[in-house]
Amino acid sequence: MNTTERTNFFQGKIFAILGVLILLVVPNFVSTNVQIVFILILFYGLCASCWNIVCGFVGELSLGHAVFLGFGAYISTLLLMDGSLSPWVGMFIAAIITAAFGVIVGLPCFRLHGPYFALTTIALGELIRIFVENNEKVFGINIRGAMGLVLKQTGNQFIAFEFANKITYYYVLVAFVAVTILVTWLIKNSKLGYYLTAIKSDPDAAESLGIKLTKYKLIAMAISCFMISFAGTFYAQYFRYVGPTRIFSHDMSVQIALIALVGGQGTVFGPLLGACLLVPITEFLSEEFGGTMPGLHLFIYGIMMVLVVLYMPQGIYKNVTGFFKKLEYKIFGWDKANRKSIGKGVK
Amino acid sequence: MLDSVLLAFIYGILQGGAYGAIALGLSVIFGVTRVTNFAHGAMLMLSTFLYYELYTRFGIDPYLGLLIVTPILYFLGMATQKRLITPLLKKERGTTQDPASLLLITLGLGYAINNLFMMIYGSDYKTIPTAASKSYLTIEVGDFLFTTQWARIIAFFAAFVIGITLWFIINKTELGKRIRAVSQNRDAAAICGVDVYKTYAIAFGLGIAAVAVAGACLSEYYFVQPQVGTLFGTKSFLIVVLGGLGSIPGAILGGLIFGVVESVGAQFITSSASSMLTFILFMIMLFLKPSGLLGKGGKV
Repeated sequence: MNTTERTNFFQGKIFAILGVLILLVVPNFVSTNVQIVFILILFYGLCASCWNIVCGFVGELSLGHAVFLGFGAYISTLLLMDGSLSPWVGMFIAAIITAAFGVIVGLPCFRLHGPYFALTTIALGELIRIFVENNEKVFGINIRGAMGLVLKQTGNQFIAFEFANKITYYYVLVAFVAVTILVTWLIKNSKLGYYLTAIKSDPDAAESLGIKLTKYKLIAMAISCFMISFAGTFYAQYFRYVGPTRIFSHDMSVQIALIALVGGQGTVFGPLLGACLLVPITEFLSEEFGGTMPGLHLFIYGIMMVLVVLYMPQGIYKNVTGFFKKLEYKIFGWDKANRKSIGKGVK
Repeated sequence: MLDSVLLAFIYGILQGGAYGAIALGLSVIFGVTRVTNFAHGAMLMLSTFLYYELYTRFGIDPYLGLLIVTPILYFLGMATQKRLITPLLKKERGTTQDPASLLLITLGLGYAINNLFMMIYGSDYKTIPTAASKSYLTIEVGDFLFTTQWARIIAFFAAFVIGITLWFIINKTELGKRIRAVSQNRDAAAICGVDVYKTYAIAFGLGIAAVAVAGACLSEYYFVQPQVGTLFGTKSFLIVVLGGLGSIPGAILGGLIFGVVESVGAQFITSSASSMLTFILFMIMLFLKPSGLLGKGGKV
């Protein structure tokens, strides 16, 4: 009895575990350039996972999530530069402020649906970007306008969230991603997750059952903003520079959304999977052709989006996991009765 | 001061006409097919590059190039609808509605087109130095001096020409009757023997053809550059929502309001900050009256 249970646990998960191990171990043994790609994979995976919490579960398309990313980056960096506060503390303050801002924004926005919601989030993103680019000071705080915030290199200091080698950054990011995935999983398997699924599939029916639409949407929004603000802090500390033109840009928002959508919205691991697929391709291609062909990686994102919507509306998650499960059964030759139920029947 | 505000107002009206011209196609597409075409800006950019190529290679003025480019884009629009959107609509029937996929596919398409042109042409700013862009209209009354390119004035009137043409097609022709039927009730129209998907394709084509005409007027005085699409695409969305999604006069009215707010606003704050005003205006409008100034729900 005991043995069968253990086989059941590993069955269908071999490749998933392998994938996680690759993400955990391999960056130790590769060159710095490849490490950078791994960091980008996890960074975008993190952002996409956070986006997924609100948009994948609620079903509204936010194309302005870079705003919250930027908020996280700006607040923690300003606290470090002007208040000499360690980013490890600052990122929690930033997260709380960002979550509060997300709720304030979400309150009117969640009254809108479909294209109206998407357009409002675009407008919000552009509004914040232009505002930050054109203002040197807000409420007496020096946000330095379009120049952005430049963090000085001071060397290897844990307390200042600054490390000498990429690999340490990478493992910090692994921790962030692990927490986000855990939070996503907890949400999905909690009452909140069930409420959100109900709201996504039929808002009217959900409301008639006594689910308070706005309340649960806002809770999801607050969690999403809270988490993505950590990604923002990481961005600032890793790149040592926060420029409004990049971090608040429409491209950034769309990139985050596309990665999550290609990966599989509403799933726990989908957005990370999307990042694992898209980021290496685009990084490789822009390294090969980037100099001669600017915009190549965004072109790939666009094409992928079209293909995914046409042929895999639920994202690649189901297909990829299905493929690996089938492969696993072929390799290990596990019993055929299970194979049908796990390999193909997932819908 | 008053003079400069008046001048800004006139410039704003002219620019607003061009905005309206661009937004018209978007409005028609949404009104008929309920598709929020996020690739609209990309189509505009694509058309301006076609005019640019025609001008540099064959010396054809964009106003003349209209005759070549508009049909091309009409068929491009039809193909987009047929190949990308119709399959999604067919899939949706019977099962749960997922309007997000329609939005996403156009978003992806727009991104692909924009960055394809970025890859081919780079981000250099190009201009088409035609006669209309180099000749100026000057009005002088005492101290008051008003100068503008003829191309801008033509773009302003083009908005009304495009608007009236579209209105005529939709309200006065047999084809328009079908378009209106489909936009009001897809299934009922299908029962009456209207080929719904073909009508959708025609409406989509019309919308894209309209943006090609606007692109000709725009390329006469504005830069030809891959980012142009994103810039005007976002603006036309705000304009269309402001005026009322699906309303033809609404698109022009929204464009004019946008142009004036931007231009007059730039007199008081910096010009890049004044585009913030338009975003704020848009958001206030959405929260107060999401159907827009002239929007009436399901009517084109």
